[in-house]
Amino acid sequence: MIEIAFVILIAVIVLSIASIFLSESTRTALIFLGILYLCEFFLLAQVWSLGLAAVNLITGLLTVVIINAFCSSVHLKLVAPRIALDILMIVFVGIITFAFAPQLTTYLIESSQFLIIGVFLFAIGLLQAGTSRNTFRGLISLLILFSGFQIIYAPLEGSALVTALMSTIQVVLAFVVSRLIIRNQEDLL
Amino acid sequence: MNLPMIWIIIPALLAAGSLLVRERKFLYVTALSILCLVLGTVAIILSFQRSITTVLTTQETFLILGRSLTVNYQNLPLVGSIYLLAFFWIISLNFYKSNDYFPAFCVIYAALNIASFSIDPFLYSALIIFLANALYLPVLSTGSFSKISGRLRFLLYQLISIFLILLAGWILAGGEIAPVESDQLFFSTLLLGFGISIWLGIFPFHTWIPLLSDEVAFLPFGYMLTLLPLSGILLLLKFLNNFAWLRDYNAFFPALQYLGAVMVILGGLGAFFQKSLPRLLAFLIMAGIGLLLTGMGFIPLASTDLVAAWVLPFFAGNWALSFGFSGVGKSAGTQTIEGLKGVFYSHPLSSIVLLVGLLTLIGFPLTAGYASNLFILSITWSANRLIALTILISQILILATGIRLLLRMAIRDGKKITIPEKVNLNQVLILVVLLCNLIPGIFPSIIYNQLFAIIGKIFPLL
Repeated sequence: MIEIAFVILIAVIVLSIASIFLSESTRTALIFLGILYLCEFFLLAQVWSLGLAAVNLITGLLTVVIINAFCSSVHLKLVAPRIALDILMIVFVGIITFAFAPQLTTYLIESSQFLIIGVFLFAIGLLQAGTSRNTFRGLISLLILFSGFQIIYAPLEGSALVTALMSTIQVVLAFVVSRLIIRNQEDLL
Repeated sequence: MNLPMIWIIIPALLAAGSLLVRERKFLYVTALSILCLVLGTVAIILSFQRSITTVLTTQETFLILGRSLTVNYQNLPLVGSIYLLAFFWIISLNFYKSNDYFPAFCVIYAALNIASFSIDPFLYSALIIFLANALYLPVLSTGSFSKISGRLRFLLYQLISIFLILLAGWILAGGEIAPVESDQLFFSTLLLGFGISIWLGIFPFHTWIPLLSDEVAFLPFGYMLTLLPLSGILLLLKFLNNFAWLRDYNAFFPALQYLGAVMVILGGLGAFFQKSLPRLLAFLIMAGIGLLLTGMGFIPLASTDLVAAWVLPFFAGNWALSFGFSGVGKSAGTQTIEGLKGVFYSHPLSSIVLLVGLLTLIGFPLTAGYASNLFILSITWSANRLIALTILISQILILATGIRLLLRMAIRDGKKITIPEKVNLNQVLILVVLLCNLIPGIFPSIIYNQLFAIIGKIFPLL
């Protein structure tokens, strides 16, 4: 990938992640999740055929639509310590990823750019899912983690069955967890 | 028509289609029960008939998006057992309040589990199992959604595990073409170890099991935690069967032995100090998973026999435990052991089933686990006494838990034992549960020799 394109892509991804976690509106968070899927499409299109990458993009957008259909009424509340923690987490994970992810090329034969972006998304998703008490954020974190996994795994394996399975998993995950979140909210009210 | 079509695709499609008639409960449950019973019985009969004359079809492979699903006649007994398990669970759940979607998703979960060990390349099985778990998640609960953190944690852990397993598999698969370097082997073994540990809930990644048990119903939870470890164990066996690198890796089998022993003792300790019924079930199942893992650790000494020996007690014990806990839990009206006062008098059969399930899991004489327990203790005693002692201590703790449960249930609390006036289907089912837990213990050689042969044929290199 051309260096400048990589820098632009990673800048958009970092900004999208920051916007997702620092937004009080579920709709804003979902729009930025959609942008994240668009970035993933540009990355995957370089190692997969355009058709498979497009399937991934459509699945991503479908995921956003499903979550929006169920969770548009969910309210997010941000508190100052949490905002500080999220910003610190993004910076910390970013530094660690840039320092260590390229070394994984010893074990995984793929470009370090894929590894940097993939590991960044995976780690940020994992940390958010582990620390967030909000179930909606938990779902978004799971999906970010899954995107990171797809970006790391895509250059290694590009079969149609894997793409189909991952797409199905993503849609099922979005549907099942969104439904759980909304039922949970109804039960708590 | 080929075997994967008959045992994976058609049942899954029929189960999905049956959701359209779920309002007509009798038809819906009966049709799915019969489907599972027929598939299970035919699979087992065909696997025995194959050597003589009958062949349903010679096609064992189904191509899907450039990859293949293969169900062959050697796998059919395992396939049949999974459908029979699904049949028993659907029938059992009919007697307790359950999610309307459970019977259909029970069949889909069984079909996806079969697909997971039929897929080639087998690495994709991790993805299929995750899909099965995600689909199954909504039917785990009977309607309580006030707590969902356990379910989210379960999904998170499973997602991490498939990632680690797929990466490990990719590195190891390279070893089929060119020799793997030692640091790559170490890295992939580490990834595989962590992946399987998270998948099976091995210490210290076990927290999702008790947490999940708190928010879900006993029977669907028991069904999932019977098939999920089995698929994990089968995946690990496939890894071992396919990659000689892994079999020859010095640290691999001892690590499995110790991880298994830690699970067994953790399950025993957790059960002994437990006050909550769902968590008690979770810890008992964890002890069962630990025994399966320990069995895998002794593959160099006992081949796959030790694993095969624990599969049946694990199935039968989990069924009895889930069934028994559902019965006594419903009767007690609470989810604590304290609330079980006098349950033995109001629900004597459910109480007995619960205790028999518990005894099966610890290999008490005359139960399905007895022969398996003697086998594992004799192997571990000669190979590693520390592990044998750990298993024994855990079994003593679980036995003490059983005595504690019995004493609690037998407190009179003004109740008199109630003998049902007429026999109903629920009692017949309880009898079947009891027989499944007792017959293999009374006639072990008939059943276990067959089991050893079945698993041995599926993994010939182990």
